[in-house]
Amino acid sequence: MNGCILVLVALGLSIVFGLMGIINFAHGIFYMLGAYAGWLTVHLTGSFWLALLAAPIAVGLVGVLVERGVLKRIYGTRNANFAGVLVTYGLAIMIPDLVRMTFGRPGKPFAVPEALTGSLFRLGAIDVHRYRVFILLVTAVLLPLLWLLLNKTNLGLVIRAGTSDNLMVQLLGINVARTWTITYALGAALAAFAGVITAPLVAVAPEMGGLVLIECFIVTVVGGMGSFVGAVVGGLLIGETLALTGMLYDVLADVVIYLAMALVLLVRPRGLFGQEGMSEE
Amino acid sequence: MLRVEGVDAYYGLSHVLQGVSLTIGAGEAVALLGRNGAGKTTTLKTIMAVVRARRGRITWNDVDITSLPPYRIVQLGIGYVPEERRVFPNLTVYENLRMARLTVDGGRRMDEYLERVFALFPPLQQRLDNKGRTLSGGEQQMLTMARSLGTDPKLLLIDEPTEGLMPAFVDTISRTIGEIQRQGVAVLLVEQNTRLALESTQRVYLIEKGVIKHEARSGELARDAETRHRYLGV
Amino acid sequence: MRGLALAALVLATVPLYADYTPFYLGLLTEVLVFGLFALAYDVLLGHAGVLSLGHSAFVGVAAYTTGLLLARYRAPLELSVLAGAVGGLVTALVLGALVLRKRGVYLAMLTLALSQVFYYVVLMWTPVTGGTDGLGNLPVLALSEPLGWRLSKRPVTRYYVVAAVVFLAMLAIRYLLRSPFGRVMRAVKANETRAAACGYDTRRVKLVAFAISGLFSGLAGALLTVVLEFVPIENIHWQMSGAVLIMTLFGGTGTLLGPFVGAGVFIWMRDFLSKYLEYWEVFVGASFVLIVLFLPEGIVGTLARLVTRRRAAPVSAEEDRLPEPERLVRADPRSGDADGRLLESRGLTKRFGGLTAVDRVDFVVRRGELRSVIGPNGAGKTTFFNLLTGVLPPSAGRILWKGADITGQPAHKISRLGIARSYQITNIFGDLTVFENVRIAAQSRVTHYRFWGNPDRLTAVNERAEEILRELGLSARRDVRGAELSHGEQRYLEIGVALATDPDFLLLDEPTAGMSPDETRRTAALVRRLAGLVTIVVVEHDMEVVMGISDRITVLNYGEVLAEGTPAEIRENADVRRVYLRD
Repeated sequence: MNGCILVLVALGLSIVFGLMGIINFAHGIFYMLGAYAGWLTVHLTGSFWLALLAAPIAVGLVGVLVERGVLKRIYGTRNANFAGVLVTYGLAIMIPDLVRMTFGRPGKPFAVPEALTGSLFRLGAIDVHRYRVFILLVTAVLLPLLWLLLNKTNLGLVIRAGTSDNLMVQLLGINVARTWTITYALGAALAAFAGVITAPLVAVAPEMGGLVLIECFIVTVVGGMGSFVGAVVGGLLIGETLALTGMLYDVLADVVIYLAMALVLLVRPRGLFGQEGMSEE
Repeated sequence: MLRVEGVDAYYGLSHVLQGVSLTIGAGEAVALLGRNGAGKTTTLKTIMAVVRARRGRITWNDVDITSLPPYRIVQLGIGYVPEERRVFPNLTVYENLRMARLTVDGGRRMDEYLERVFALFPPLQQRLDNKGRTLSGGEQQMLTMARSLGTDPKLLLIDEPTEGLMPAFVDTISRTIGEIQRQGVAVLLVEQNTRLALESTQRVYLIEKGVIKHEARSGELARDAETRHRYLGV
Repeated sequence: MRGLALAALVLATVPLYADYTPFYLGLLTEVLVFGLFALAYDVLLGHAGVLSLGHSAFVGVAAYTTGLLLARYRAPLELSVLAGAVGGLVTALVLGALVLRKRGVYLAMLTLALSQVFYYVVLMWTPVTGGTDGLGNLPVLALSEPLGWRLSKRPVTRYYVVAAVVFLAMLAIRYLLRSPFGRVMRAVKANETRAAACGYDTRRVKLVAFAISGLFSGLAGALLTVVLEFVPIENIHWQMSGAVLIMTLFGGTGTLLGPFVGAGVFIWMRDFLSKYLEYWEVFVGASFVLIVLFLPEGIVGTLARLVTRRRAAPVSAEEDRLPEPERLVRADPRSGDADGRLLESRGLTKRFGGLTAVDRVDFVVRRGELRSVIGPNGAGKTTFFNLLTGVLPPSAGRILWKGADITGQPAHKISRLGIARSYQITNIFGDLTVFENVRIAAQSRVTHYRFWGNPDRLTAVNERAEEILRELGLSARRDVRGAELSHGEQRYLEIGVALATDPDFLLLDEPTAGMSPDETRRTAALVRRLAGLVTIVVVEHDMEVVMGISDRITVLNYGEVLAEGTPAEIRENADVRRVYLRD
């Protein structure tokens, strides 16, 4: 799995966790829904570029529905964190089947758009495909934009403040509930965007979400929950490790990253860039 | 005008406030004194709805705020300077201050606001780009007061501003309270430093084990050593 | 007992009256096996309070172990099943040892990730495990001599054998859960920090719970191989962990029957609902979400709660008789070193980043003393207590107990030395009854890991608990859940739990917090009567109480000792007055 993709997905998960303290099992679902929304857009309009825009918006709205309809009910209850994991897990079982109902069981083909097919150039023995470069460029553009959002806008300010002291944010007159909804939707939209942009490379199937979720979780553990830099560094590290070891022996790659995660958790629980105090429940 | 009437509050089952009543008039400065564990901070937190009032009523300018969420109460004009200061450690001084302005004007008139802040607390100007966690205790106290003032409150609840700070800081606080009163903001001050409290306020309530035991004009209590010792001393 | 006999009867006669075909009987057999799995899972979740998302590893390793022994080595059936169970046990021990450094949701995610390692090993090791094709080629299954019953293609025999094993396993689990250790697990679930403060090594307790859960999950996995005569790779996939969680929550945690009901419901959904509803997982997922949101105790759990009408305990009239301290306290009258010094701190310091909360505190308490610690806000009193009781490690300095250095010892070891504490914010075992609160504290002096026997037969422990409740006036409320007591009753129970560990030294953190004047008076009187029999250090804000009961007072300010002396001395002390009144 491409490191850049992982970075995008992991960022969404990390921001949500940093602010709301919920480990969102449904995050992988948003990724999958993004791919499907993208496919649907292409199917209806033929435009890949429109799909890139439509998918995050549509899935972002789904995120709003989930947060308002389901998650809102568990905030502030006893064991809210557990309930968050369980409830989003339930959604992660439900929604793929809904997708199967709507789109059928087999996956959907998703072709690389004309403009981006083929190889860009050769680097020795390695073929550098245009589409992969496209992904790299898009990520390179998106990341600074996200960084700006988090660090230069009022919304980003509230999110960062809320990550360290939610109550004080309220005591300054700000309605945090709205911010949480927006943040959750943002996380969903990011995952969806990653989903639609990966669609040409992987099988668009209802089961897509499961695997990426675990890899994403590993990234945030290694990089540090709630940390922007951590998600980026972690995503690239894990993504490239997967790619490299995957070339050697396909399945070994996954074992390696699980062990990496276990190591990090034992030796430096907060991750490479995480804030202290976030590693407990 | 704040009116607290017969308020009971609990921490779990611990009955920490028992029928607390007090009033604060427009522009008044009032002190709330008592020993540790008497319920001073709990009273402030209950007004702000951080702790839920189980019985009784709290009204602000004739609006019942007892069941409102904290953010609404702040929007209605009551500000809160918490005891632990609660400066956002990962944000700069500027960003901390900006947070306060978001509901007021979205941060559009920061320059105006900063001018007012620097007039009250000159040392903050040099530290504008420093992260909250790097500030000293005194600087954090200045920041949190400036920040809470940023929500343009008509009543400011201040919880133990001099705690853990050097004696010289007491003057800063005294000056600040005087200044904000001049600007028409009412103050409810919780303080362990009795002298400061009585000098900067007009009225004082004494609370003991969750019950308001005594009310007086600050000047009177300053001269009444016996009552002071009874409720505050050892 | 009657319930069990009924269950055994039903199980034994099902094939006779149920309109069965081999298919249905096979399904029922599967339900029994999954029920056992869910029950084993609930040992960890419902009794020890640990959420694991990695049980697929235990069941999977067991299934493959059994399968391999049968397919490759033609091992006897019983041995293979046993080996499978052991495989589950070992996997659980390994996983548990790794993840128990963390807690809560993080621990859960850790178990999920680590269990996936096993999945991938199985996936890769195709020559041995068959990879995605699963492990087949099992021989004809039969019990060994002298019974020699054939199980393959004999649904009835297989049903009876599996049902018997599951029933016996269920009895074993029931026995374990009802043992003194079972009580310890539930205390850890109800309040882990308090359990540690009573002397229980909570991490080890949870590891043992993992082991038990792993052993019986492994047994279920082995039986699954016997039932399916095949090992599909799905058995070790993380969906299996999710399935057992769903089953357990559907049926209700903390019950014996619940997991089986939950397994039945789940399998019904999988096999029957799926016939009518092609997309049955929507139904499962939606039900799961609804249950988590609205019915967290599951079907059986909720029914059980509704059916058990709790007898409203009579509100006892205010007992004016003061407790007899001789009955409450069993401190060693000869404790302390030669000088009578019991607990001592030397240069004790605690720093949090730039803040020094406790600053080089020298503190000596002698046997039989009643010492109060007072000080203005932020003086460091609670941090000081936390240092003395092993909750926080000190940055510098030493703590001595009866002359021996105990600095840095964890809370449960400190408790075993004879130091007990009560908390400012009530910290009892909310979900346990009043009696059990005190009993489990008392049990900590007798046994931690007893897996056999009836805890109600530990006479010494029970008598001690009764005695304490009697003297504190809580006997009438013995069957009420701790969380449902009045505030004053809870504060007394706080002290009772501390006293039940037979301490030589008692630290009381604001015992009169939030009490009415009346309750305050009675509590102060109680503390005064306890003094002299057990050494006490009290943190209090109520000056009347402090002045009234203390032998000596220590005043802290900014983490330092400001003054120490008799109440009269402290009253006269100019420094103290200045600090308190700041006039």
